[in-house]
Amino acid sequence: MGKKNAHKGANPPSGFRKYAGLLFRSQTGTIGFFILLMILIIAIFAPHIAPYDPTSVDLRGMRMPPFWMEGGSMEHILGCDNLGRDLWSRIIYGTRVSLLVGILSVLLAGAFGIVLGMVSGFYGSWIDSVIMRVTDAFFAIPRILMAMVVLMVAGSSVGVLILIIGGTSWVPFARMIRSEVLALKEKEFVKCSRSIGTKGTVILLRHILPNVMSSFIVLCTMNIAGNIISEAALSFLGVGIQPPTVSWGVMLAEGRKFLGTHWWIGTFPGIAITISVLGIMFLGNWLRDVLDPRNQGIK
Amino acid sequence: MERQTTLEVRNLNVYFKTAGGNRTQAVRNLSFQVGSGELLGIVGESGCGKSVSSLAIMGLLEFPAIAEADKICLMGTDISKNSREEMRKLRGSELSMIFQEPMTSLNPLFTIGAQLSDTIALHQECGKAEAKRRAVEMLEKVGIPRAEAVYKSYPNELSGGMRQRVMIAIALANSPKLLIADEPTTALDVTIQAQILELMRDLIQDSNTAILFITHDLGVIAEMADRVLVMYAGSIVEEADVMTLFHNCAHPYTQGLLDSTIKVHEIHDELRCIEGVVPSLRDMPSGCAFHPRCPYAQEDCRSQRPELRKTAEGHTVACLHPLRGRWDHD
Amino acid sequence: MTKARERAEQLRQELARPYEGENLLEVRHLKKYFRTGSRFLPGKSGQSYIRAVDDVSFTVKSGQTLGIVGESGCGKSTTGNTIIRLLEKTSGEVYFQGHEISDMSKEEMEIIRPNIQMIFQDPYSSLNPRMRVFDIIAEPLRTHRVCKSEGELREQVLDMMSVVGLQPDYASRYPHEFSGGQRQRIGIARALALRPKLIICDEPVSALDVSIQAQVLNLLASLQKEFHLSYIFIAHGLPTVKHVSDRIAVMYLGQLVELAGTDELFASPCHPYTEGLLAAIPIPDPALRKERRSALLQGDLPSPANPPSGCRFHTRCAHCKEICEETVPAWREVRPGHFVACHFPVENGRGILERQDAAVK
Repeated sequence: MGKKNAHKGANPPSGFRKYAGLLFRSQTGTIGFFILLMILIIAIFAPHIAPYDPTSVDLRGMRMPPFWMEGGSMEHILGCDNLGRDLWSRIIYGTRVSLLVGILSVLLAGAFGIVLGMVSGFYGSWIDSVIMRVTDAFFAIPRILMAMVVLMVAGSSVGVLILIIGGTSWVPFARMIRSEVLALKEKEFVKCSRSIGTKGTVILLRHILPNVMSSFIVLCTMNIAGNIISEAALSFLGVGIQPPTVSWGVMLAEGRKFLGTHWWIGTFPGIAITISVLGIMFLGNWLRDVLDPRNQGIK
Repeated sequence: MERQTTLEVRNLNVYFKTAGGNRTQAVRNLSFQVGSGELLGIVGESGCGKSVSSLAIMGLLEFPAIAEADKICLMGTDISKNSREEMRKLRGSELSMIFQEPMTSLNPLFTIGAQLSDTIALHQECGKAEAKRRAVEMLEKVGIPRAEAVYKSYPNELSGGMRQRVMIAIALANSPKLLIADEPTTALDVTIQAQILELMRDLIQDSNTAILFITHDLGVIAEMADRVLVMYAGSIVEEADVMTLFHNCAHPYTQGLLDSTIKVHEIHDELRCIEGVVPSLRDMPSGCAFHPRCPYAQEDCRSQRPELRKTAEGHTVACLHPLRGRWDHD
Repeated sequence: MTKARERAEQLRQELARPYEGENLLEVRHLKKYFRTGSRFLPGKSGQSYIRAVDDVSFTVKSGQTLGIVGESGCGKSTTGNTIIRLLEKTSGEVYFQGHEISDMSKEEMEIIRPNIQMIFQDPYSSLNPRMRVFDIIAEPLRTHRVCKSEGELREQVLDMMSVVGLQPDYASRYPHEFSGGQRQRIGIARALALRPKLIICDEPVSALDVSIQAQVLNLLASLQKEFHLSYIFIAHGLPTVKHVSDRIAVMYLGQLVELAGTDELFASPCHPYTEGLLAAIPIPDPALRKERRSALLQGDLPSPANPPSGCRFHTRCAHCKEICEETVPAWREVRPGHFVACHFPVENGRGILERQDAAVK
């Protein structure tokens, strides 16, 4: 009676080893991974890596260019800004803020969005209508206006910024998870669970949630990049991180005036943003390809 | 009446390129011929390579699938080395194909008439009005009532059976020399399937089109085919005319398929089946691909891959120990 | 509150015992309509219904198989889903072991559910791709808290797996590692886990290769004997249904047109639609190749949203008379155990076995 083994050849590596293998086979995935790793290390070990305190002023180094240009020196590799603060150190410390804001805001938005999306998609009817209208309303809020208002009311801090960005970026999560849940609900294994008599909440947690996880992870990854840019934009406009806290956006704002003359002050933070975002997007793309359920298995 | 050879395929191999520069073989050394007015049935289960072979003949395979053949001759001309442009010219005029799911083969944004007269105008070099006239004629020929009205309608307004008739109309509009039908009735209800098969039989009788009919349903093969190819795991295991195949087959897989098919017209208690599963392309058994499931397998089946050999006139088998048939031991 | 709980306990005990009666399941005048169109618009776009199941009645005898067969839009799957309450009925009654289940509360249904299980059509979407085989089969046991310990649970699951022919080491694998036939076996093991009395098989072999279909059909037959199961076997093809059923019900556009014992249905059908279905089956024997055109049904299947008046089959029926367009035919017993809904049931229906005789001559 059908004794044939499931044809899979020798036991394939599973879990970690499998993903590590897949990762290094993808060029962009590998690049993304290493960029993210680098950013993480810089952020975590900032005090040990940065040559100077980011707020310390070196009067001799005011607007000093990077070391490879005339007037530059190895003491300040990337030069200094208009107050004589070492750019490289400021970029390093700025990594902390950007990463913190990016990741935490995504976790906030993701948690909120996935719950709303699942409940909305699974239970349908009036719950769905209500949640979707709330979603639409939130989507319409201009983030910058919100940031300005909250800034006036609650003062500025990294925490407040995380709340603002997280609180306005959850809509895509809710929408995407909801549409996935709608599709999953029609799958036969969900119908089967219902015919067995499994309760709705159990079906949500045991059947639906694991099947939306891969899209969720990909969306989170992409959103980290987006939220880093959001933070930079808000700070650039003066309604995000306030000095003396360092963030890339703040540095961009400071460098704006000097773009024509001392271009390095504004450009290097911009490059930092670009590299981070690119790296995260690469990793996100690789994750999406790998976690696509159609790529699972033999077929 | 002497039949012309419409299609001759010699040693068609299809590979899939996989990660790491490896190749998985999907079709191995496929060789057969179809004459004009003849209906050759290709029967096999999933993974046997029948659909992939037909796509290769039509030149529709995309990377990572690669097709190689000694020759694929259509009316005597080798088309296996044709460029994409040359194949494109042939498709719709000399070579036609019908697919399983008509809804995805027809463009939902264009009317039936537009799609049909497009293909007529493209290959028959006539004006728009003439193309329309021929299109309506074609729709009537495939048994569509109120052809003028259907001409103006969209695919989603028609039923499955109607859409398949339209597909047949489009495929036969330019009197192709070869028609490939890939499971054309599998997605249809049984009463509609019977109508479509009847239609196809009528249309074949009137023309000299050679037909390659791919299906997994032995009942349909029995109804339609003149000759049959049985494929398993990418190769032909048996080729015979339809009577011989059903009454005197030689390959254990063919016998297994026949045993597994429910015979409505007989009274049976037990349904014999083939144990095991179809092997995955990446994990082919050594020797004869069927040996792990074969009730008659012997020692040498494990190590030696059988070649196609003739057992009788028009009957070839790839088996070291065929069920019937006298080998000329030489 | 205690009275209800007492009733529930009585029910539970009654269902725990094997069923002694003859009619395990009885369906009476079951209807399931789907609303289409908008509530607010008048006229045609307004409130209208798709009569997916329109007054269907049958019984399933204990230990036997009832086959339900029909083409697209006939409502066979909807009937199965409604019986098991995946869909709520529009009207009608469903009796299981004499108890009316279509109106039961959630608590009472919890007691009934272990007795009626379902096997689904698509082996690729009927198993959660993120769950291991063990958990898939264990789910019904866990939901109904049948086992008192993890050890007992494990024993039951492995037992089920061996009964359907799956090796024990498959338990820790995921569905995508298996072929279609093996996945159906997993689905069958899951349906059996609670030792139901009735299993509704909704096209369980349609998506499988021919040689695997035979394996699964044989498995279902042997399980029926071993566990004294009753089946409702839903299929779109008569050959499949013939092999497994004791009695067969033929549906067309939401209604039953014929119900008879298997052999009798195939030998002498009474309804023109059944005749047409039989004539349409491609016979796997070239010697019996169809030459006659007359037996084939012409025309398309009407849409269930817009069924023909009177007898729904009249638009395709060769014997259609005026009364057929106006009046819905009654469901009558024309021979013992043989029911038809037709104004002019066929006297000597052209069965399938006749063709063989005709060819031999």
